[in-house]
Amino acid sequence: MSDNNPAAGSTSAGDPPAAYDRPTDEQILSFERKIKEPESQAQLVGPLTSFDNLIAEYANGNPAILAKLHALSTSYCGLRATRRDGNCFYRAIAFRLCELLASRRGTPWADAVVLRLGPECREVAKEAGYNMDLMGDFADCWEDAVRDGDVEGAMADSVVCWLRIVTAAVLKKNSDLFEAFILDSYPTLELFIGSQVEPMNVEADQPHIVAIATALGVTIRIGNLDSSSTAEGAMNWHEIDPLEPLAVTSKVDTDGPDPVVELLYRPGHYDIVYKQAA
Amino acid sequence: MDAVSRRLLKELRDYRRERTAAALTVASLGPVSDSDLMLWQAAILGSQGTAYEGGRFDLDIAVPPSYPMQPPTIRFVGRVCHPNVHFKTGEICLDLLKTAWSPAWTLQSACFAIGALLTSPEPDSPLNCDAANLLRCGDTRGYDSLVRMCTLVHAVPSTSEVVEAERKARRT
Repeated sequence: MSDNNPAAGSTSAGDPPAAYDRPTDEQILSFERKIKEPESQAQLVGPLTSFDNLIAEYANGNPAILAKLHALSTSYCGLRATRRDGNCFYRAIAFRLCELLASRRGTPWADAVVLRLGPECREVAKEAGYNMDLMGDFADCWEDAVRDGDVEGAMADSVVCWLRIVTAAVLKKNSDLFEAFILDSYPTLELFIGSQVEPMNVEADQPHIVAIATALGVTIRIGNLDSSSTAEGAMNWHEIDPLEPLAVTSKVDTDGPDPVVELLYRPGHYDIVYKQAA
Repeated sequence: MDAVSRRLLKELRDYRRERTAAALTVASLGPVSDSDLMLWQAAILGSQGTAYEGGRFDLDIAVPPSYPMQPPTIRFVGRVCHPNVHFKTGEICLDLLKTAWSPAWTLQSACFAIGALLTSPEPDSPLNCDAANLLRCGDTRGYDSLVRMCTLVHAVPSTSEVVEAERKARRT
């Protein structure tokens, strides 16, 4: 069949294009995995370290970033590096929230969060049309990790998957609000969710952060380690509160302010940061 | 029972119990044998009113051990004329089977999506350039007739049998 006469005959309808020996998509994906292998050996969530390594990394780099790191290290004691696999945002949230809940066990705040991240998240996911018979397995992993204060369990892919589902569910529930943010780049919220939220290994952005803060009922503070210059090299912090605040029944003064999950953002990546003990 | 088997059995039960709208497209779905849950087969039906109408297209499904974190590998068994299906290997170019896969998908919903792909081709990422070129130059009439003939020859059970019988008769 010639290109000039495409409708002629059909015996060669699918005859191999010139590049018949091209690798299959599976081969391409497995090659990609091989390239990324060094990163895939990295710990999902690393140990708590000081900012020294990061400061060394930027020692000859952008002075604005370096200034921010120095400013950060005066009030924060260190960070946990997360694996750069596109799931770092969800993994960091799961890990840190699990830690915070374990340290505040039995407080009104912890009780309210556990209610929100458990049965209430399941309800939101169900309302959004997810098959809870299948997705419930992932929710179980997350709730078990929280109940047992099991940070190892909180790092699991199944937890990342569940947090992606509840993020998607909150986006759907508040579609009027979120469509305004995504319709520039995606024709529908559904398509955005299908390509930017539900699939594993796809990074999170502003809508995801608002949605997951809402789903879990926690405030997320994100330090933006970018090269913009700020007064005295201060870090830009973005504080994202849940759209619907947590229903904390009674407040005990000794608990102090509600804990927040704090992350350090560099383009395409989130690590967990820890404040110095007061 | 391991998590993958448990999940697959749930999916199988859901498919058998629900027979929802998807079942109009996914005519059959299940493991090839009782002894191996990781190999499935499915058949999807060409939608009415399209050039695939009357066709029954078999799919081979290989489930990886990391399922559902990783997508299943799904191929057409027989010949399918479609811009995003390799004519010889049956390989399918569909983002949800690659980068857009999510554990929220199931084998059934993936097969349903493949059924939907049949009638919404993406000629700009072709595995079958001949089919794609017809669409790209706007020759939908030529495209439809090519697809219809290919469906009749390879995917309509009665026709395929007749064609096969004739071929044998000619040979003898």
